[in-house]
Amino acid sequence: MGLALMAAVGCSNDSPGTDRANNQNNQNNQNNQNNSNNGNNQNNIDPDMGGDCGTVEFAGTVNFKRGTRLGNDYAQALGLPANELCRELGQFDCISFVHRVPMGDPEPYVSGMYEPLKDTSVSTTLITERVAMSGCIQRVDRDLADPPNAVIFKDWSEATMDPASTEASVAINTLYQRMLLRSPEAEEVAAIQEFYTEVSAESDQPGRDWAVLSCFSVLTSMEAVFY
Amino acid sequence: MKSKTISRRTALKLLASSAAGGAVGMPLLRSRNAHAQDNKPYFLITLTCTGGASMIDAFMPVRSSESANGATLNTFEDDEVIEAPTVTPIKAVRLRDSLLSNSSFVGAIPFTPYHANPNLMAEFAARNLADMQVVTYTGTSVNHTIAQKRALTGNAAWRGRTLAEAVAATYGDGFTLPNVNMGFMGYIENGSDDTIPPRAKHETVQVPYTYPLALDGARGIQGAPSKSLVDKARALRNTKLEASSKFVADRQMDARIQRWIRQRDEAMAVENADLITKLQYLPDDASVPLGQYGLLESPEGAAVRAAFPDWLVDPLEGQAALAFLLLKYQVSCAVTIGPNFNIQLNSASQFVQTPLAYDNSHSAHRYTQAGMWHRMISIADRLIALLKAEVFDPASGETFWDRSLIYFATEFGRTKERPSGATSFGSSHDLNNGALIVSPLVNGNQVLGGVYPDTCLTYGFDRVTGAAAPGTTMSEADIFAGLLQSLGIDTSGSSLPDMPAMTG
Repeated sequence: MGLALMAAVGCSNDSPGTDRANNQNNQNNQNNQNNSNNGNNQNNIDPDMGGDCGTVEFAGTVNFKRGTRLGNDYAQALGLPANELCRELGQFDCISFVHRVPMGDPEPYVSGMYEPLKDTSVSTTLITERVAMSGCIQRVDRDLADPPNAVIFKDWSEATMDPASTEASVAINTLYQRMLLRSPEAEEVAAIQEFYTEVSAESDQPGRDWAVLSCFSVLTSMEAVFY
Repeated sequence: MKSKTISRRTALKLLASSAAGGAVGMPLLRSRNAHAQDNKPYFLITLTCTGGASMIDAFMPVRSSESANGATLNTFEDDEVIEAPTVTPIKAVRLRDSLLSNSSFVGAIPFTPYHANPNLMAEFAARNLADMQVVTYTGTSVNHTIAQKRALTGNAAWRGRTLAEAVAATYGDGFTLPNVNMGFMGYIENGSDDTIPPRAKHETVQVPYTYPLALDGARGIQGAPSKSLVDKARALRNTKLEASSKFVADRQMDARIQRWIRQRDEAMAVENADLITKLQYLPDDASVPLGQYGLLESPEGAAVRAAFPDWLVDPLEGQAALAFLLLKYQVSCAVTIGPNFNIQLNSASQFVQTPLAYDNSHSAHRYTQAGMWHRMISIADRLIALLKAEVFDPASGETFWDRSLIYFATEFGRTKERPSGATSFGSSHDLNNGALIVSPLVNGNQVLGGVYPDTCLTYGFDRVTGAAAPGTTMSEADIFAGLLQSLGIDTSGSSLPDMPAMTG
């Protein structure tokens, strides 16, 4: 919302050479327009702050996506049916049932919560990780088991996995595009590639676990869980 | 379920024998002020009596023969009121066998299990008389949601903080999740005091038996990498990926982002405490093969399932099981549990809760009140037994119960009138009521305040001496203050009244 508002007042000097905020901006522009139409826009951009977008303080401008929205984003990013994304103990749906309230959705029938929780809680952070971990495991295992129909981790196997390969870079780029709707920065790609060294030191299947944990780290980043 | 009734005489004996050596109004068994003199935590269990629990249908009943208007007020026949006035001012209701045997229905709903033990109220009093305190007060709202919240904040008596928040703010530093709330509607709302530390705000639990799974980011997920690697992935995320994110950089001062970062840090302590095991009371069996998911059952799992055998089908039993584990493992110092408004079956497919819980009194007051009191007392009775069996401090021999307080919170009372002589009638909401507190920390074996027999309205008491004070009423703030002070919480500067009558 904040970025979108800056664009609206002419503060659109985004970091050069990236398109990372643009897609997000498009979404947020829509939100911003909606809020503006409702008269709810409480952003206050100080014109004295000039055009340096990076110095604008965005207090109160982001929201946790909440369970349903976040679950749908994960499912779409990972190419999984939403109802298969996460099931505790193989039985209980994470988003719509067992973790519904702490993930910020209302639950009128059992808890009498006609309005959702106002804020996130400690368990929200862990549940978010569980949902992401569950989805990432499914995506990676399916991609490795069925390369022709792989969605993110294409054209690789545990035996041939090389984090410095083009295939790995493409997978990281695909992951960012599908989840964050932008391309990764070079340092982000490098950080994930370097992470393989840590994984390979501890894992019996480092390629697979690197893919799972790379996915996990991107999906649970604040950029992924807030809007 | 076959009724295992005992005679009224036996129930009376139970009540009379329970306070051996005690005298009416005298503190029993132990010093009631000991709690103010150590630095150890105290535990608050808020048991919400959802829908409007009427105290004159429980431990302050009025005999019809005592009232000039007995036929048209909510009074009981003489043989329905159990009392032992030489040892306690607390009374109990035991519905007549004829009423119970002739009707296994609450309105149109069969409620046979309610009548499994018509003497439960007297038996509970017999077991806990020294720790029981009945107080009167008059509330300020007959709207369920508003009254529920006010029952927990004393009508915003202390900047709007709830009892549980006050307890968690005082004792919560050493607890992983100081304040856990499994309540319903207004009982699950946060207080409005922004000066309360964020950690004192409650964790919300929706499904008790799966809640432990929410306390670890990856365990229990088949195929998840090791915890060591998951931690390394978190470090990658926190220190490198988010450091490169313009989205995060632009919003790092946002209150929600700051909260998330803090909660993510606190979550590591939760995970490292292995609560996914300690609180896991699901059995490791074919229906829920915990082992297949790399999970373990709590060492206390079998004990809490035995105490609350309907933990799977009855949310209230599941809440009680989790509440005990949260206290026993000193994860929480404040827990809130209570029924919702749904009709409830037990594992034998028998009804154990009316629709709207106590609020079914609109349709069938007497049986609803009896059945719901039976339900709430039974839960408390079993929780107390578990807490009494658990040593808190081996050096002093104190049990968890010695440091616990159960507050039976409710929204309001019920209207006092009935059609002349009716035993089945409906009631509405009434501000005038009372509350039950059970704890070794309060001035026990007491009824503070009283009931006008000719109106069935309650009146107040002297805040210092506890002497009955007809013509006065107590407020929500009075009870709120007395509860906190009983728990050793310093309320100076809060403008709350001093309530030594409650603390002893």
